[in-house]
Amino acid sequence: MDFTFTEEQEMLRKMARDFLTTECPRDTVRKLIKTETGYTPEMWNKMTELGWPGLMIPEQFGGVGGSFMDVVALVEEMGRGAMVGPLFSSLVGTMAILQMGSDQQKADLLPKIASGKLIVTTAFSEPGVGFELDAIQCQATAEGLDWVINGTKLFVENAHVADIILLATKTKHATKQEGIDLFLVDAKSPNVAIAPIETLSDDKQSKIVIKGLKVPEAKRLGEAHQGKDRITRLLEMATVLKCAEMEGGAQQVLDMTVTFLKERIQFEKPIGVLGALQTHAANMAVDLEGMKYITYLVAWKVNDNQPFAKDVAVAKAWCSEAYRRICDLAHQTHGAIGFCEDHDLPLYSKRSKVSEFAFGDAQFQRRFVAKEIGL
Amino acid sequence: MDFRFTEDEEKLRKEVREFCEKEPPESFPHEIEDEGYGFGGWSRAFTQRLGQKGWLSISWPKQYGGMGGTIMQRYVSAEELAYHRAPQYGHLFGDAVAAGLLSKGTEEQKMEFLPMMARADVLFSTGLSEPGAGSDLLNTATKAVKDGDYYVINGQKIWPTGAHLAEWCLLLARTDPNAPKSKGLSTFLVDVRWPGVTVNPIIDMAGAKSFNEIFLEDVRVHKKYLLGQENRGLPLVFEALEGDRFWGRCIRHAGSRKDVEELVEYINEAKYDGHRLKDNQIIRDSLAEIAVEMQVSRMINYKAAWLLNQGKSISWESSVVKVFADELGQRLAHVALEILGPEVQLGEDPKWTKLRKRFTFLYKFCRGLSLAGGTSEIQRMTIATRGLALPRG
Repeated sequence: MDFTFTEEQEMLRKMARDFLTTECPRDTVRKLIKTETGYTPEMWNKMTELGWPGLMIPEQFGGVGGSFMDVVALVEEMGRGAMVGPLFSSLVGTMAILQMGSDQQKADLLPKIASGKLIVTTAFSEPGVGFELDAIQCQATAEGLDWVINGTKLFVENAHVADIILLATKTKHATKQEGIDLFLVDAKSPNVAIAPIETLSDDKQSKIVIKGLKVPEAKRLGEAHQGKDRITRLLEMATVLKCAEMEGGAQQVLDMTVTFLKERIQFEKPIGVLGALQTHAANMAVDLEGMKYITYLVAWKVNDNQPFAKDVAVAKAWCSEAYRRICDLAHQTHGAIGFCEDHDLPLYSKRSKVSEFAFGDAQFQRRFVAKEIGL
Repeated sequence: MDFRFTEDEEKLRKEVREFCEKEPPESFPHEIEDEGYGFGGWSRAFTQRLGQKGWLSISWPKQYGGMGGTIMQRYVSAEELAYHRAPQYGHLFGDAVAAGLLSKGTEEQKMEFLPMMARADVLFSTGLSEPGAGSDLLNTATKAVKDGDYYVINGQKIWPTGAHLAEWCLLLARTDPNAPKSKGLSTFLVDVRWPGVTVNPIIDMAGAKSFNEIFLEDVRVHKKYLLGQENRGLPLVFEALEGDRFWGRCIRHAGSRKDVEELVEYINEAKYDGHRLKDNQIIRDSLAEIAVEMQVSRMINYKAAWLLNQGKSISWESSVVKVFADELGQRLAHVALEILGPEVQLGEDPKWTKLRKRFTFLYKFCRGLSLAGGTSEIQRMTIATRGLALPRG
């Protein structure tokens, strides 16, 4: 048993933390979320120099060739720094190409992603549809050698700056075969209308409406109509990354709360001596300990090619609620100052709710867990 | 990161599992029934059987009757025993005493006690709390006054678990009334069968006879039974409490797994008010939530076990283990009673009587879990001050 990151992963974490502290401090984050793009190309270029978009891309395609656990280590720091920009969604899209793409698709796309020239994202949810793939309505219909896609997608992260959207659709063929498929869709196409959504945390998510978009067969990933299991696995891996991001954020929320408890003086004493607030802090620490190890467990299983479907549901169920509780107690501890827009805390607490929604909330996950324990 | 157990650890787990299947723990006579810690009650006979297998002393050095194994091996065996509801009560707490003996005991003490403890020929309880000294152990009033080669002990202890079944007690007493409170305490190994010692069991609100009060009246204890240095008892006690917090709770997830398996079986069969329980979304969600928390508890426990295995301190991590495990146990009991409904109180259905009896007992007994060994509030103070370095009030 070993609860530590490797030396290289620790270096990656430190580098990420240093970079985000200097290049993208919270003041910058607050400014950027008010802009249309939500990030700057300069920052993106620097991250590319650090190898982040290509962290999990094999060296033969110009990437760093890192492991899944390396990505987890990075994403944890992204969460801690409340980082903005399209890296998280691009990492998920990259995983999709790595998992399901053909050799040709990989050779075409991965080098461009690794060099920062191509930003990708993924689209699953729809109006009335969360992450239940069978409920997807967006339709790709075969037309000769091409596909024609129609439908609406919701909560597509960073679609406004992405070059390619990996889009899940129902597919129907003349031979009546049906299934779920993932397509590489040109985000800049006139048949793709992108409208920003005002999310709770001002992160950049969009509603996209696809009308009569013609896509060649070469842009479909994997074996025809057999995408469901692969996409399910992809969503599960993305969920692990989301847990890591939440857990990093929760760590920062606890750290800032502990600092506040030590520095804020009332009644001539630091408020951290007060039993009620010590209890809040301890509850936050317990929730966070759980978030960490439950996330590391499933991350290790992914990294080790073990089955992990139940573990990821358990992790997301826990992280969703634990992160929200941690933020609630942090707010209660900080008092009015933490309620101000220019304080760091709302960056995290608002995001905690949006993260809860991402890839299915706690109740969604527990429906799966109930089946797994034999109900 | 690597959450695999080693080959040796897995081998031991398999041996323990096979043993439990061949010699079911419930077939041994119990002196105290299952106390709801997730690992069954108290049984001298079963404990001695474990001693014969060498499993009471897995991590102790061989020269003292130990197996020379690791803490992690010891942990794995405890986890497996817990799943099979084996009574471990008699020795898991004794492990804290053994750890104290190994780190602070004289060679003579180690040779006298450890081999006996490894066979469960003797069992230990711990006498720390007093009517005026709960978590505030500095307030210990029991006195030990030196008289030649002996100490004469007078005072009263309360809450030692199993003191009425154990032969010996690790006892905290004040040896220097004039020193600052923290510098005048010592620990002694006391045979509760000695003249002047009276052990009275206290019956708890679940009807179980598990804890006690001990009266000490002019009890003469030879100086060879002073554990560690005179007036330096407190660090040893803190270390023992760390161990107690950990070993007493670190296997809750394993015991609860069995409980949840049985509840799942019940839900899948039972009907109430004309509806199948398994179609009830609230029931499904509640039990899934417990399953999630069990996995969290498991990982928190593994983290502490991993630290302990490296000889590292778990001063606040053990409090995280305890808070989580105790409160999980209470939530599980609560959810179980919601599932089982009012009929949980009936004993007439042969198929479910055992399950119902277990959970009605657990529901009552669980109240005490978040109190024993330091309340959850005390644990949270420890987490805040030691884990997060918040100032002390």
